[in-house]
Amino acid sequence: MRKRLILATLAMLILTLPALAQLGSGTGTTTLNVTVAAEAGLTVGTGTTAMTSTGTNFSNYTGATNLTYYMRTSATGGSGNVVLQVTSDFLPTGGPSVASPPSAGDALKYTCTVAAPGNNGTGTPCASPTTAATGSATSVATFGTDARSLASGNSAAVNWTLTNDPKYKTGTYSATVTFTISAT
Amino acid sequence: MNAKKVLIIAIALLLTAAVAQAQYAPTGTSTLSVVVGAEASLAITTATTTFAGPASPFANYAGTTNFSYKIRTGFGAGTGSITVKLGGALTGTASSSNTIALSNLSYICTDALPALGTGCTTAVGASSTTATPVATFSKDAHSADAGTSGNSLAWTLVNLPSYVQDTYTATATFTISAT
Repeated sequence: MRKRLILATLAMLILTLPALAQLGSGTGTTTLNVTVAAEAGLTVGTGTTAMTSTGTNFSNYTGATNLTYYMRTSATGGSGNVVLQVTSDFLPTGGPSVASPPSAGDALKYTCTVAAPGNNGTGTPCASPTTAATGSATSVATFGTDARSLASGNSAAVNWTLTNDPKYKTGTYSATVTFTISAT
Repeated sequence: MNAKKVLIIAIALLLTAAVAQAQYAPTGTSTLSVVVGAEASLAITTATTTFAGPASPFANYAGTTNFSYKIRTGFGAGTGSITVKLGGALTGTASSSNTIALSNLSYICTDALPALGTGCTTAVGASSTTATPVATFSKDAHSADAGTSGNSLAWTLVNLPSYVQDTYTATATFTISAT
């Protein structure tokens, strides 16, 4: 009788265990994990920057290029910058040139303005004036630690000055300027 | 022997016989009875849902949580559901004062049959106050015996420059039920 009782109990346990393993749970969790890193982007609002001269006495050509920047630098030890480089010199030849100006003193120069990042941090414009170059990038703006722009971006601008040299042949000349933004 | 004694003896004999017939016989039967009720369980196969970095500056973050479920809903008028609820805002690990509001987090569901295709086919905003829908089931719904896989939540987190650089986490709890 005792032996039968033990066998019956074991049988009941064996029947029960598989059922428990299959049931699972009514709830479960997952941990959402996202790394928000330093990040930067920009848009150039002025696709073609027209440079004009006023009067008839060879006043310099001037023009402005508007930018919108999007920036997040690291919360500690972070920084960011916007630079520009003349990636394609004025063409056709016979007019202004950044790399090989026809007269000493001819130059493409610029000054900068930059709005502070709208959510936090500082933005510092370039030293005024800065001479543009084809062989290297030159500064437009720098940003400090934990700089965070608005979601809609913040504004910056480059105001150009090009020497109006009488040596230039008449015509329409174009150069390409490339802006680059980065953040750490 | 008086009638009373005869009666008592007879009754005793009858009771003895009845007991003997109940315990000892060439065969015997028992009716097995089991109530199969509505039941449901799930397993989250993605213990940590890691959001991929943006493909371009300030593009949205995206991540996917996969899960399996087992379900049996009532035959006559049963229903079932899977919901998800966040434990709170996304919180920074370097600093708990860095937070990302759940208003920036949403998801779209992919539910395998027998789930109805109306769980959340359009983006649903994540919430820590309300359990939001993931899947729904109609009456007499039966999953695969080993569980029905191929279910997922595709999360989207808006990438705003205002977020402080940090690694953020939050807990999402899924709940399944069936009637």
